[in-house]
Amino acid sequence: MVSFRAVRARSGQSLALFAIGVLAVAGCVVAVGFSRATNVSVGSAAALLLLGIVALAAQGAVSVRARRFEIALAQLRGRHGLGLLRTAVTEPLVILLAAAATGVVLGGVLARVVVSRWAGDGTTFQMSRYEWVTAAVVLLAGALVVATVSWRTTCLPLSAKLDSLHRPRHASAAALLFSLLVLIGAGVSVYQARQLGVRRADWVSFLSPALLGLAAGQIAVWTVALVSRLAMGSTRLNRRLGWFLTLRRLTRRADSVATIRLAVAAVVVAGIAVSAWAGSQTWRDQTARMQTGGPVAFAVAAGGLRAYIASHEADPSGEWLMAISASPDPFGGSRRAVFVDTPRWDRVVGSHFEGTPVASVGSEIDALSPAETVQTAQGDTFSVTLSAESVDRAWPTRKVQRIEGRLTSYGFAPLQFTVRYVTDEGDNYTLQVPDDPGTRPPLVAPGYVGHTAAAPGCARGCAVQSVSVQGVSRNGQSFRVTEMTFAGMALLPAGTSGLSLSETSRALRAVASRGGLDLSVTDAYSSHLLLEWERDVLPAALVAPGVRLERSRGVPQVYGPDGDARPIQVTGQAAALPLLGRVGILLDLGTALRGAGGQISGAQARVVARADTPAQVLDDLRGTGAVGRQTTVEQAVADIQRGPRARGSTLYALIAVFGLLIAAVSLVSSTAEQRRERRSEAASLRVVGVGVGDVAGSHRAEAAVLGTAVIVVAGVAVWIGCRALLDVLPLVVPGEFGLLLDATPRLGLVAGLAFGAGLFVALVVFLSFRFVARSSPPSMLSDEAR
Amino acid sequence: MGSLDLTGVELVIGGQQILEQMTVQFRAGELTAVGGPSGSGKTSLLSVAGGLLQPTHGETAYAGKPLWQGDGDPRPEVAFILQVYGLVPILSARENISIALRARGLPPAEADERADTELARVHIGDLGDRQVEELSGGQMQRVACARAFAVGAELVLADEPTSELDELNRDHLISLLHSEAARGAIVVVASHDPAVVAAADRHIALDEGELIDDVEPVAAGRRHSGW
Repeated sequence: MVSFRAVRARSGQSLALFAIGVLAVAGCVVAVGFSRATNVSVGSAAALLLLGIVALAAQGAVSVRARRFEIALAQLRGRHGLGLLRTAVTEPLVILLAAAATGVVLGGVLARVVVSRWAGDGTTFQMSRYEWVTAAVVLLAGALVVATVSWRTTCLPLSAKLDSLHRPRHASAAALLFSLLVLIGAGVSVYQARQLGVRRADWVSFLSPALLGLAAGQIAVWTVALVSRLAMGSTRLNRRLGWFLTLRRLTRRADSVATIRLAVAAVVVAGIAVSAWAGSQTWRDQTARMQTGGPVAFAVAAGGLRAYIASHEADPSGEWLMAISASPDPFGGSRRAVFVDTPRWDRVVGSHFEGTPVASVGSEIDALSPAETVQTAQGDTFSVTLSAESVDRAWPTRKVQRIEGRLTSYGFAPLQFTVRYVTDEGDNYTLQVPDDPGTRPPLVAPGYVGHTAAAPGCARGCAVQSVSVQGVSRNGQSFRVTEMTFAGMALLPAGTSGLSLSETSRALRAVASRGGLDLSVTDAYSSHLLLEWERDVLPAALVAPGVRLERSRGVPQVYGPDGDARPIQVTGQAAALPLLGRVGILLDLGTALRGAGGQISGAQARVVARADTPAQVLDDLRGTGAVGRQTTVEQAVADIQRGPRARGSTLYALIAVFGLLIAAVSLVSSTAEQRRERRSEAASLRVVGVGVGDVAGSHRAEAAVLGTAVIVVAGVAVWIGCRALLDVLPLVVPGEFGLLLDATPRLGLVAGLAFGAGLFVALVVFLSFRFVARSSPPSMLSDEAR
Repeated sequence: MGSLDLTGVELVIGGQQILEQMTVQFRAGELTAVGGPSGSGKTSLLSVAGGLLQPTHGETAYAGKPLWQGDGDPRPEVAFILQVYGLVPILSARENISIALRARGLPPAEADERADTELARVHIGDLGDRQVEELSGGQMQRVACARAFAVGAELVLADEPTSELDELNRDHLISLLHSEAARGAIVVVASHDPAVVAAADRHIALDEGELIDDVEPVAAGRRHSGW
């Protein structure tokens, strides 16, 4: 049933069928294997699967039709029904099977190479049932078409099988239905992809690039045929025979134009893939820059305050370093906030975000400029001094009585100060002075008494949140506090350090006097706020109109670096934020730190530096002991590249390569298939006096028309595909920044690819038929008769 | 018009002797039938005579000028009706004729008009818009004939022009061939058909590439009425 001589006679079609089968299966194995190894959705390989099946089915049908005479001969020899069908299908099925087996082996080897090279350190590839099933699907689809076409061919009348003339194959109902389904499918897939978005991409979305490509290919075929038909009228006025022939060939020979269908489809998929790759390079760069927040970034484990203090200590002028702190929304909402040292933004990171969505932040920064920032202290003690006379007057008498035979002193906490502050490790600390409230302050100077206590965690910088007091002053007398100093920062007079007197309560009365602060307290058991920060409304710039804000009494709120809710006033909008991405709120760090507590868990803080920061400044920064791991943008790009987040674009690049190879083989095969008939046609034209030049000219014109059609249709389709599909395909994982792939089609890439594809198609057609006219003398027609 | 002269013509292809050395002249105004069994060299003789093939030895000339132009294309004065018809599949019936006229410099509109006229002459005037693949064998053969008649060639070489025709159309075609001869063309027809041989003015016979018979004008009663 399989005659090797017969196979050799049809070696071109057989080879093409084999080659396309190998490429389709190998490509799908590589795509599925790579997607599994990199945790990209396996469905992404669906585009190549569809292209491969379409190409294989088309070539399979050609192979069957090329065997009409053989099938007719078998019928003449008495074979009928299933026996005849077996004759028809055996050879192409054997070729398909061989191609599938070869494709699996080749695909496995290539997948191993590709995964080890591009999937990240240590990732390996092992064949699994997914690859086997994909190969089986390709094989079965090809076999189904071969069987169907074989059956239809066997059903043809004997005369039709033996007819040597090319009978026009009016598109079968199945082919028309497939074309319509492709068009509808392309429209639905694009629409659905836009509606679902990347997080819910399904099989329709995955197929969308191939469906769009196939639809574009079909439109290209119809357009060429229609335009040629419409232009035929012009040949009544135009004497050019070459053009006369070209238009008729393109109108009436479906296989002449159909050569470009798969080429356009593959170019569209490749165009989307190339744009995705280019977009992913930009995405990686943008993500890295947003991730780092500056050209060089130093992590600060102790939180935003520490970062702020360290950057000011190492760079007092504000030329090189800037502190950033990012806080998550404790409830997972959109009230994520990033705090930046806004007065330093322009000088330190102004140019770092150029070209990224964060670039627009610069226009909002001025509105966030702080009126007052946090005051920080650096030292190791807390001291409070009171006038001895006031203590003598106000100190309560301790009562002692015998209760159940035991002497017990009870009642009163004469005076105790509680200082709450954030340490240089970013922790909240509460210092009570004295430890025992009943300790009478000792003499510190003639006429003055006071307490001094160690303030741990302030050696490298800290910030006071509040000062409270508890105690009892006898008979309404007042203690006069003449001095209060925390870690070298004077807290009195109130307002000196930014801390203001709290509102007077029933248990505490604080009055500023010439000598200091007169305190009258009547609560021995609870502390009452004495000094605190005014809780300013923070000016804030929103990111994206969709950020939902919680409100308290109508005032929008944000969670500060310490996790406490703070009122904000929206001053503007920005497209994206460093460290946060497209959803969040931007605020000034120095303002937000006023009165804030220690950093909450999940927050990030860092000091970013300009790329040209002097080494001395960086050494000083490291010398503060605040900074840890250093990251540069280049390192961040490399990390992202090694990670899984941008593997989708690599996968699509692989799909594009195999798609283009399949289309190229299909194109070369289909043009080679036409050579015999073209030669006969050329001979027929020459015998009636049409010159070789005119015949050759018609082939050149055909090549130019087909190439132009590919350039125009593929270019437009790639453009549409990029705009419609790029940002919804699973090409990159947006991550915490929510950065999506830039779907703007790259004009240069799209034009270059379309032009290159059109040129390739034109070149293949031109070279295939270049010598047909000259090498087809009229005498070959007589040879046919012989 | 001159005569078609084959002088000492011999054809060898691939080591096989296709035509033995022969000398024969075809005259203007005559319908000459070339007969012989299959493989006798009839088609090869026409190909050599029309300038499609270069003879291995000898010369073919028409009106004193050689017919072989070096590239296998026939001279404009020559029209062929091929056994395989030689129609161009991408063209309609009308266009197959008009392109031959356009190739000879006729304006497109005039070429189309003349093509319609010739199609009507062979009784398929209503098939002008049909594609070649939509025609039956007989219709294709008539289109090929109409194409040859349309160009007004001085040398008409027909290879089995009646093989697909019924009796009525065959007789009509023979009369058209006679009309061509009557206007002064040299008409040479290779055919198995006894009716064609009988209707011809002259009959030559080939066997295994050798000219074995050359019968001068046949009985007057069988001649076309145009004579």
